[in-house]
Order: sequence, then C-alpha cells, then structure tokens
Amino acid sequence: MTDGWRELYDLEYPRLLRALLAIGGDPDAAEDAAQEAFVKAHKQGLATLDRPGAWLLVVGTRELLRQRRRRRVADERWAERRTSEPSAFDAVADRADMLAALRQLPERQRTIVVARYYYGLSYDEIASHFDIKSGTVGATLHQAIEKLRQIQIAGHLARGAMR
Amino acid sequence: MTNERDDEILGRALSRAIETLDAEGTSYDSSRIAVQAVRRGTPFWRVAALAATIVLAGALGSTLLERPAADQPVGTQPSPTVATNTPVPTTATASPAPTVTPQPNAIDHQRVFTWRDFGLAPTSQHLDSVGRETTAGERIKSRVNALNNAVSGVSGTFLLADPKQFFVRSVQVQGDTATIDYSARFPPSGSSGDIALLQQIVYTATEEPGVSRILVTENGKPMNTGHILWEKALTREDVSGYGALKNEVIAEDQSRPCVPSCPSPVPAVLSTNYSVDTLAAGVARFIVQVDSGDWESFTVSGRSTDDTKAAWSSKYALQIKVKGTEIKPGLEIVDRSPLRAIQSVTAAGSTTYELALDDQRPWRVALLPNPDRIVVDIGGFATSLSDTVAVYAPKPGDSGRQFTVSGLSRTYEATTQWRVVDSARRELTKGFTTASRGTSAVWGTYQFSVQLPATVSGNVTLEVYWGSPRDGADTGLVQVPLTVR
Repeated sequence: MTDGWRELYDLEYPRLLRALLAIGGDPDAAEDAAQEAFVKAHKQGLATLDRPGAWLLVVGTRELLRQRRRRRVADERWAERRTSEPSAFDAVADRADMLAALRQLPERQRTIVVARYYYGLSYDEIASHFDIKSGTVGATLHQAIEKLRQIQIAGHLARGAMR
Repeated sequence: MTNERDDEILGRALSRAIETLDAEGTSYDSSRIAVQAVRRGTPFWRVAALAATIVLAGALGSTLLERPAADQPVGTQPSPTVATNTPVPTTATASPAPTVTPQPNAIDHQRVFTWRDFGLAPTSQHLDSVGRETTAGERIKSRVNALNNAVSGVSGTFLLADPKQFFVRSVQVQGDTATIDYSARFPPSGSSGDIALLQQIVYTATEEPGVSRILVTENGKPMNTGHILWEKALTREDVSGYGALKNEVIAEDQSRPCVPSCPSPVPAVLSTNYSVDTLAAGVARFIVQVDSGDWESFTVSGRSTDDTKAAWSSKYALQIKVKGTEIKPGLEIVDRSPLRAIQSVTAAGSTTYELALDDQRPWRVALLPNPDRIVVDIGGFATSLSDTVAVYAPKPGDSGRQFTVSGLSRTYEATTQWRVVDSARRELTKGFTTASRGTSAVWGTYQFSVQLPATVSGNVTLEVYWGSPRDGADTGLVQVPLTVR
C-alpha cells in the first residue's frame, strides 16, 4: 500500500525529469532535483497539493536552480547529450536543435516555456507559481518563442532539407 | 510579427522534443520517498491524486494526447492493434527483392516508396497487396495506406500510426492531380519527419500512371503539421530534395574534317550494362560499351514522359543516342528505383537507349577508356552534387580518419580542389587533384586520399570545389559532413 504515491510517481516522475533536464541540461542535477521535489511533496502530504504535477514542477525547478554551482558542468554535458531516439533518423537533429536552442534562452524564459508548453500551465498559474506579474507572462513567452523560432529557422536553412 | 497560434505550434514542437529526452530515472521502489518508507494518506487521497493528475494531463492536450505510436523508433513492430474497421487490407507482406511482374513488358506499379535518407529520394519496393483495385483512386488509396507500418509491416517506412486514428479517408483524382484526404493530422515527428512522410506519400501516390501531382488534406482542410502547410499539389520533383534542375543536353562528336576525304570508320558494336546503388548510395549507372569499331558521336538528353503512353515508361526518361549497333536491342524491366526500365532500338546505324526513371534528378555523362564506355550516372546524395562536382565516396556521415574520395567533376582545366574544415571552419588539410577531363560538358573521374592528423577528432566537413579562373571564387562547392575518429 503506497497511498497513491506510486501511481503519482509513475505518472509524474518521467515528465518532471524531462522538464528539469530540458531546463537545466544536466541529467544528474535533474534527477537530484526531481527526487527532492517528491520528498518535499511527500512531507507536505498529498492532501495539501491541489495539482501535484504543477506543484512538483515548481518545487523541482527551484531545487534545480539552487544547484547553481553545477551549472558549468551541466553546460558541458549538454553539448554531448543525445536524445533517446535512434540517431539514424534526422528528426533527432531537429529535436536536438530545438533543445539546444532552448538552452540559449535565459533561465527564467526557459522555465516558463517548459511550464507553458510541456506542462500546459495557464498564464495565471505560471504567474502565481513562479512569482511573475501575470501581465508579463505572455510577453516573456512570446519573446522566448520568437528566439527559438529564429534559431530553428537557422538550423533548417543550414540543413537545406527542402528547397 | 507572428501570432499566438504560431507560437503555440512551435511550443508544441518543443514539447515533443522534450518528450524524446531519456527519462529512465530512478524507479519508484528506489526513489527517496519509497526508501524513506513514510506512509501517509488514505485511499481517498490516492483517488484524489490520480484525479488531479488526470485533469492536468487533460489540460496538456497536445503533449500527452499527441504521443501516439508513431514516435516510436522506425522499424519497431507495433503491438497487434489493427482494428476490424480498418479500411485497408492487413495481410500485406513486404518483399525485399523485386518480384516478377505479371506483365514482362510493363513496369510494376504494385509498389510503395519509402523514405531513405536525407539528400536521397525515396526508394520503392513491391507489395503484393497494393495497386490491384479497379479505379485509380482506390489503387492510390491502397498504396498510400500501406505506407503505415502498423498496416502493412512494410520495412523502411517512416510511418507508424494507429490505423484506427490515421488512415486515408478518400482519394479524388482529377486530371493529373490526386487529392488524398486523411482522417487526422500527420503523427507528430518533427519537421524532418514531416518531410520524410511527404516524400513517401508523393512518390507512392504518383506511382499511379497519369497522376503526377498530389495534394494532401486532413478532413477536407489543408494538411497543416506546424512544419508543413500542404497548400498546393506537389510533384515528385518538388519533394525529391534535388531542387530545380536545368534541362541539359550533353553531346560529343569525334568526327573531324579530313582532306580530301576521311577513311570510313568501322561501325561500332555496342552492349550495355547497369547498376543501382552499387557505385554509391542512390546512384544508378548505365554504361554503353563499345565492343568493337569506333563510336563517332553520342547525345544524352532528358524529358518528362507520359507514363500512360507505354507500359514500360515512368515519369521521366533519359535518352542516349549513340552511333552504332546494339547487340541485344529490346526492353528490359529493371524496377530498381530510380531506374525502372531500359528500352533500346537500333535503326539506320544508330541506337537509341531510353531509360525510364522515377523522376527528374541530376545526371552526368563520363567517358571511360579501354574499352571505350559512355557512362551515365543518375542521382546520388543531393548535398554531394553540384552542377560541376559530384562526390560518390565518402557519403555524408561516414566516419574514419582516412578517406578515399572519388567522384566525377568537370572543372576548369580539370583541376579539382578540396579541403577539410572543422566546425569553426578552420582548415585542417587541403589539396587538389586532376580529373580525367576538364572544361567540357562531359565529366571526368577523380580519386584522391585524405588523411586527417591525429590531433583532429569530431565533426568535420570535406569540401570539393574548383577555383573560378576569373576571380578564384569557390565554384561548384560540394560539402560532405564526416566524423573523424
């Protein structure tokens, strides 16, 4: 009997780990932060968590960004990182480009982009969870996406897969 | 300024990219909370936790719901989930080698084209179960549905989707255009995956004689994947990756004016040979060999063909006219993409060879000595070809420290230059070679070796080009990405 923790863990852990990996780039740091987030959630008790997924993301992100000393190592590791798909197919290149582009954004933009598009949180949720004025969420997101788009277009042109 | 919807599309693509990250983290049993073995809560909270997460999953929409089987690696066998209401036969079997066509004088249209590699057009294979229907629309439908690995088990296809969700609803043929209506948007696979799927569909659907343009819709609306908005009907040439091509004619004449009169030449006796994918990936080579006598002249040209006119013709043809007599004239069905058939006819001391091809793609003519051979090479990696330089080996992505580089070129005074640069465009090594011919429409052959210093490792680019005699600018540049290890 695990009181729902196993289910929650199986459902949320992979997603949280991917999100933290996308934000931070270091697998070890992501794993560490994800584990800590669950420990904190466990201490709080499920009863107090309205939306555990979002809560875990917020706490996990905070944990991750606290480990700033790991940053330099993380950036080096990211450069060598590969996605889990077989490399034979170049969708991988596309995705790797996209993730590399994400890493070029400032930390705050990166976190908001992941919360919005990977976790599907609303502007209001992002504003309240991440301590941002609700008016600036949309503008920050748009700025971030615009930069991603530019980087992505550059990648496409470089590969020239289509005329 | 782009709008919010465009942001949403890119955001989703990013979300899918994140989803591919390796998340094989700690299992629950080894997790810190399980190890702490602290128990709290009641069965009620267990339900509440699940309910909360399911609501969250619902809010995600694009993230979780759009993660169907198609995101699995290509070639993975799907679990047996083919539905009874699937509108396509499920008994199709892929045959690796071309099987005997029912009509020996016709090319085999019971085929599907599967994605191959970036820079190469798709390749085709025979499928017993497709293209037997009575109407063109039904034949196209069966071929295109068979592109789904979950339906046909066909190898090499870049499509694995739940056939209950993703299938061809209808095919309308009007003139040379077929409109294929799908039940759903393409399964998410990134922009590169969309391009692969687009190539497969256009080539497979246009295998139907008389059909050369394909429009794809989703429930009647233009197919929009976020990467590709399919607004106009596309031909094979639009998606082959070779770009726009000039119509070129390459001819050579050996006869010279003599005074007072020339000795009459010994008429040439000709024989032919061909290979597909032997010389290099994606390259078809056709050889006319002069067994005896003197060849006086030849002309090579290409043109689009109407594949409803002759059972052995396809979408494009190269015509090679040689002065001489072919020892074995007639028709040979090849059906190895892109070369589908070879027809040769000798009349009045001249032989015309017609090569039926899948599409218009770059081709080159070279002359080889001892015995004299007229060589026509078709295709190759798009990125390894320019209109004056073709690199056959190494192919993009090859790895090693020493490379033997070979190909064809037609450069000023036959001088073909090369260099290897690293990702910061620093020059690592360079050199030049002299091809067997230069400054002519006919290409020459070249071969040289590249040895990279022991200090170099990682991704590099081999560049082959020539210097313009006018200003020395790099001309005909071809870039081949390589890995040094």
